[in-house]
Amino acid sequence: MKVLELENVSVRYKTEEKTVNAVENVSFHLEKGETLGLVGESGCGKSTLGFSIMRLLPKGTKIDGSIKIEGTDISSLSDEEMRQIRGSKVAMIFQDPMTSLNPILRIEDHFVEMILTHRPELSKEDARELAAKALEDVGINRNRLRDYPFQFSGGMRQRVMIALSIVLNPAVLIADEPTTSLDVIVQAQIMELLEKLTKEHKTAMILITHDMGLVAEAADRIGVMYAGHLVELASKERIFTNPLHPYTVGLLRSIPNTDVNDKELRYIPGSPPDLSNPPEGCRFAPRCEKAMKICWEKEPPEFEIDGTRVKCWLYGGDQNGTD
Amino acid sequence: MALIEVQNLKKYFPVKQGPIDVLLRKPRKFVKAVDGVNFQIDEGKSLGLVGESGSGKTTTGRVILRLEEPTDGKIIFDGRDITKLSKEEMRKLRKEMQIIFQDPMASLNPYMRVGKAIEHALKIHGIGDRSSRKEMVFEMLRRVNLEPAEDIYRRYPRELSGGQRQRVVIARALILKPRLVIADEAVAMLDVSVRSQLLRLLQDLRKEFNLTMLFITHDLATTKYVCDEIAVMYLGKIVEVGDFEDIYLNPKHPYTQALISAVPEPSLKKKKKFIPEGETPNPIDVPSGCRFHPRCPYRMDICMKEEPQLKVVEENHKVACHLYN
Repeated sequence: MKVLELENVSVRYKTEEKTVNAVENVSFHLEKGETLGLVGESGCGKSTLGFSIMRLLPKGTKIDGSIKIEGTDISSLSDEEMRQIRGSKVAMIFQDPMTSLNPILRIEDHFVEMILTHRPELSKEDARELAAKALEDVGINRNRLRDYPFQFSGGMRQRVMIALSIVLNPAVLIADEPTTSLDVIVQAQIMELLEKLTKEHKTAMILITHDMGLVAEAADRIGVMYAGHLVELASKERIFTNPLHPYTVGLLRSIPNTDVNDKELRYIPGSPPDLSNPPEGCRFAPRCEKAMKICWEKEPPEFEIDGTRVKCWLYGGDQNGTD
Repeated sequence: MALIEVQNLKKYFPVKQGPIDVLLRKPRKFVKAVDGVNFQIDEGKSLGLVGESGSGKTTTGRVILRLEEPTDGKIIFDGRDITKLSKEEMRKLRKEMQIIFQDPMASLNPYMRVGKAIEHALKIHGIGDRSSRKEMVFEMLRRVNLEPAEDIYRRYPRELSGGQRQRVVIARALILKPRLVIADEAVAMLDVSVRSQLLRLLQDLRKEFNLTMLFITHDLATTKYVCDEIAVMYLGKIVEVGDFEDIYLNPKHPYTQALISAVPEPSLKKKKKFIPEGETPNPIDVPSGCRFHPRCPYRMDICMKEEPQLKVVEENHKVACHLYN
């Protein structure tokens, strides 16, 4: 069952002097209970995409295309209707839990407010009980409900955020760099928790991260983003054994590995383009060692090769214009 | 010969007390950020100081440069005890000891053209005259692959990308021809493709300038490329030190083992994980005995009572753990 469907989603920001095409023509869907890793470097549009699914982008941002959550197209919803969906059908956790929690509210108040917004039929007592169970699910003692956010460590705060986001059992969870500000051992604890909970509740998750290692461990499918485009989408196994897009190949090659004898550093030369003035043709062409004539002239469409979706002219059937 | 050596280095920060604490005569508490650290780096060698947040790795770097005053212990640079040098003497010495921080935007003056910022370092130390300084800056900019140098010289930090800005900071540190460079999470903020470019640059510059380096990082994997040795810190102490290969393939301390197993591997192979419970405790209330004992699955009675000392377990490999006694 498809719980989330994106079709030709484009997001445009307007700043004072220019328009930035942060995301362009991205389409994918999410099956119930599946985890999709969305990877890319800063500025590739992966977080913007997450925010657009939550409809949390600043006013004046233009979103084209359709985003359907459990069959409902969210662009047709009023702000009030969208608020009803946020938290109950789709929830999000962020990199820095301290900015998502209100420092002057007890943990309990965060839960009660949220639960009662979506389920007004419940009593405050019921809401508290639900909150206590959710906390226990993430490994925190229920008597800490009366504590304030500052009384928790970074890892514990992220656990609280996870409890908050799953307490109403949403179909889709968007985790935007959920462990980036945490130490590596705590990161491993949090990832284990996320995997366990999404499995138990059959929650579909979009794991947005810059870390190929995280998606290798947690994702079922992987989408690679570059300069606002989804350049490759495939199963985890395909991405790691047979990556097709030159950017994916370069990205995988530039990750420091653990082979002690291999001290060579590989990287993709150059840096990503300015999205207010993207290059014509393929956005990766200026950095691509396999760029052909057509790559500079025409934006590649998406091709499908053995289940991998890839946006690259190398895989176009007839390569007229090949140089 | 060791270019830099620290002996039993300590840095305690007093915790703020409220009026009630004072009235009740509560004993003053201290954050024991660095609590008895010993190491040395030979001329031309590079040591990776690895640890999680709160381990004291950054404070160690700052104390070595005397940006913080040590609470106790000795810092010996090139055979000379610099622990008690005056501010003025220290300022002169900083020409030979430079530091590169994580965030280049915070280390560069936003209103100063980057070329001027690099030139400023030369001016402060009275090197060259006006025109020769400018020439030196151009040369250095080219050396860190910022080209065309004449154009970059005139730019402001905000007009450069994150990777370019960090190159400027590296250029500014190296133009003084320092003998010791402390790199504190110097590549942590950068995306993976840019990070590799900068690590490559550091690798090359190290050889070219025969730099001695203290490479402070939370990321064990990056130390491989620029370090000869690695020291792992936990709660203000070094728990294990040795060659990169030994630490990586044959970690002895349970904390080091956990640190290595927790790194997510970008491959399909399922990795065996060994993840201790809980988080690093607050450095105000340091656990008794071995600092890691509350989280350690192998803890014995002795671990709660007696603090283990760094001991040689194999050639060039020291561990502070009772398991190896």
